Amino acid sequence: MIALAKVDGYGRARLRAALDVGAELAWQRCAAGCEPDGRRANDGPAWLRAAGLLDPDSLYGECEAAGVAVTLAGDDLHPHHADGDPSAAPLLFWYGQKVRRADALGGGLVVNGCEPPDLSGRASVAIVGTRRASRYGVEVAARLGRDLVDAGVDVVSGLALGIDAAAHSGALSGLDDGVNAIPIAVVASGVDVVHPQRNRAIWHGVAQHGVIVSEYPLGVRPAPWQFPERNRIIVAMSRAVVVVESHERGGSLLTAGFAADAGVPVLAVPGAVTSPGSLGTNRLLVDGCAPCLGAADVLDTLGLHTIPRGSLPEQLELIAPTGLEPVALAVWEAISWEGSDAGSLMSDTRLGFAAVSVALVQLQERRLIRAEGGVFMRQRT
Amino acid sequence: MLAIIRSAALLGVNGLPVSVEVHVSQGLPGFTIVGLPDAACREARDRVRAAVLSSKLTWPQSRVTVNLAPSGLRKVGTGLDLAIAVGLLVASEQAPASATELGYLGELGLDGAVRPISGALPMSVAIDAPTLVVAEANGTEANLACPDRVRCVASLAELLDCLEGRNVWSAPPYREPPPEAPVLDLAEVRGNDVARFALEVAAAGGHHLLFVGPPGAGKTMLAERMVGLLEPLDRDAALRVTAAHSAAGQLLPPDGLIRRAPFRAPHHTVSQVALVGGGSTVLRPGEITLASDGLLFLDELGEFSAHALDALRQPLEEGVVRISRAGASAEMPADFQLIAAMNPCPCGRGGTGACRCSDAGLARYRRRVSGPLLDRFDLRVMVHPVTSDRLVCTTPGESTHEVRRRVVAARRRARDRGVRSNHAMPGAQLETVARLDADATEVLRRAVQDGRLSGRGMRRVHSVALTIADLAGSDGPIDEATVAQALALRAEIMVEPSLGLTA
Repeated sequence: MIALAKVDGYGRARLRAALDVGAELAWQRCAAGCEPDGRRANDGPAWLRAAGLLDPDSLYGECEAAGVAVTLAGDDLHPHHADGDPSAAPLLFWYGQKVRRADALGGGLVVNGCEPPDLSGRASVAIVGTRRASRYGVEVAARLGRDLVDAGVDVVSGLALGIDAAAHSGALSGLDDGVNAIPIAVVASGVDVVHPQRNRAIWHGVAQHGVIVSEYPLGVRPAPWQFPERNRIIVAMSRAVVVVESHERGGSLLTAGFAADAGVPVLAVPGAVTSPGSLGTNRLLVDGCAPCLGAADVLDTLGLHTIPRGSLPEQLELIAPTGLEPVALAVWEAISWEGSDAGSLMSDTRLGFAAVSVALVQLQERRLIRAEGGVFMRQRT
Repeated sequence: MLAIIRSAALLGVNGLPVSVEVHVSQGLPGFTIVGLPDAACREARDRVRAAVLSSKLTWPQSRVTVNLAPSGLRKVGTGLDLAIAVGLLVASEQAPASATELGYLGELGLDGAVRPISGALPMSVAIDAPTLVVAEANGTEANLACPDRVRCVASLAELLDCLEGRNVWSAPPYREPPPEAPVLDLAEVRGNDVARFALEVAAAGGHHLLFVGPPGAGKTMLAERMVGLLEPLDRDAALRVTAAHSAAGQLLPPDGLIRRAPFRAPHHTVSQVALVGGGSTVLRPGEITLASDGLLFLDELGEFSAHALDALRQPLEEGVVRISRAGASAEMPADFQLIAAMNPCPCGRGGTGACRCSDAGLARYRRRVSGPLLDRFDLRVMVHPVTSDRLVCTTPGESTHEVRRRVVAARRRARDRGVRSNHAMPGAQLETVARLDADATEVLRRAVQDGRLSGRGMRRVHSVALTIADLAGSDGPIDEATVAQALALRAEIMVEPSLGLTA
């Protein structure tokens, strides 16, 4: 099956057909330049050449050596919402800390010596959104990721820049001993290809504490058409989908569409109507999605009422810090989510430049704000 | 017969005294120039010959050798034509020997006319002669360097007449200084109070200033109004600036002296050589030399080539630019104040949600305006476009006139301390002269400890705080509020390409 997946032009539909007739037979037919059901293929000669170069045995030996588990549609551990679910991928590769090495091959279902984690009994929620996230979106996604993990819910996302990365970043920061949840990433490249490079650290973090899943064999580089496909798998693996920020048109809206088709509830995080990044999510709310103001809303939708160890899930609103003088407090409250510079603070608080500057220094010393990109932003201490 | 005539050539922005030795002797007729003349200089042979003949004088049928001493340095330009011609005439006994007592600077036309040259001012300074003969158009300029010792001639024939006493020397004409040009008014800028304040501080202390903001926010408008806040140049500075402009061939005011601080605003497509100076044969002054003692405004800083910007770092540090080429090297002044404007990112909307830039584009843009260059700016301010209602309803801000009064007073206080500007004050003096009170010291110390400020940053903030105190007219130790303002004016412009998570 892996070999079939590596042949150019052998896409999802053909792979499914191959599964139906049986992998061995499909491979022989491919090597002979035929479709899985026996007809002559248009790409026949190319397939002959490709098939000649590929050796199924060594390919899954490679996977085994790399610690990559492979599951096929129909396996017990293969994620799906219903039998014959069109969104289920024919073939999935798994990599990460949670992929267990099995000593014995059992029942012919497990292709090699690695086994993916059993996700069937677990709660998992997908957090998706735009790559061009605002600071607000990033903060919200990270907070959600952390709070959900705290509540014992797995966090699924795509490891793209922006919201996806923020969600997993938050999830990773919430992991420590005793927490049952794991981060799950579904990527559009092979599980061994880190993309994008900027998210390297998060990629490795997810691999170290959770699992990375892909529909594509090892070594496949990300291509544009592979991203929507992977969004389907995200839906297949989640019991709810939260869209944090989306522009008017975006991949996350497609994901919401897939979720609706599969009967998976979708929640959207509202945003400022003036922010282009919240246009898509606000529209989702208009169309009837449940609003998500925090992890509590998500847990409600899932029907879970787990109180996490420690405190209640925090509101997204930051509580004003104590012990500040009135001027500093006024400046603190005037700082917007996107960050404010001295000029805006002066006009918002109607204080002079000297007073605002002193307040900014005090807030910085107490680490309540930081300076970046010409503006001052709030931060968690 | 040998004649030795005093003249000068140009090296960078300085004059180089040249001794033109003309030797006429028996032998096959020929004319050679030695002493490393460049192409234009070598063409002097044809120009001088035609000029001499046009002036109804005789071209000697002998072997003529011209040496431009010092012989090991390259001579550039056409200014030696006149000296060569006079030397030839003296050596061939067509002009009196007393002609060797004067200095000569000028190009010759084929009709015998004496033409003006660029760089007359620095060259006049370099000539070591009691009287100087130049073209009429160079008269006022040369007069600045050697007052009352300059004579103007229009042609070779006239020169000969004057030398032989048949005619009277003419002095350079006196020209009125031009009326002061109207300056752009700061009151036209609406809103952006912090940016206006930063402009005032920069003008008062000579600090380098960076405006960051989306297109149309008013960055260029603000920068152009800085010129109006500066005082006229003092005599020494004016002479330096005029010399640099003269050497670059720039047009000078009718009375010869440039009295306003220069304002240079090169387009962002400028090459490194055009910006800092150089060139393969001629060592031409660049924009930074022309902006010396004045302002260099770089609009669209992110669009300049990294190559050009890198070359700015050394001159910003040292105040001079050293150009070395295979043939010659020169040191030219580059004591300018830098103002720059930039967008926060290529599309102009700044890294956040509305930004349309790709990550690669954003990273490339940030890399171009590198960290070390950004660190050189003592004042870094965000500029916002003014909303429409504020444009109409806001009371106009202070006018240039009012702000200038404060700036001039602050500058005077700096000069009383013995430095040109607070920015130029050396660190040791800063410690003693600009004392900080206890709270202020603590603020700075904590900023350094938290990593928000580097060592150099601390000195710069200290310097800016001193300027703010000067503007407020306060003596005594600098307090916490002043230091806080100086810190706020030095906003951290760079954005970490992280997710902004800080838990």
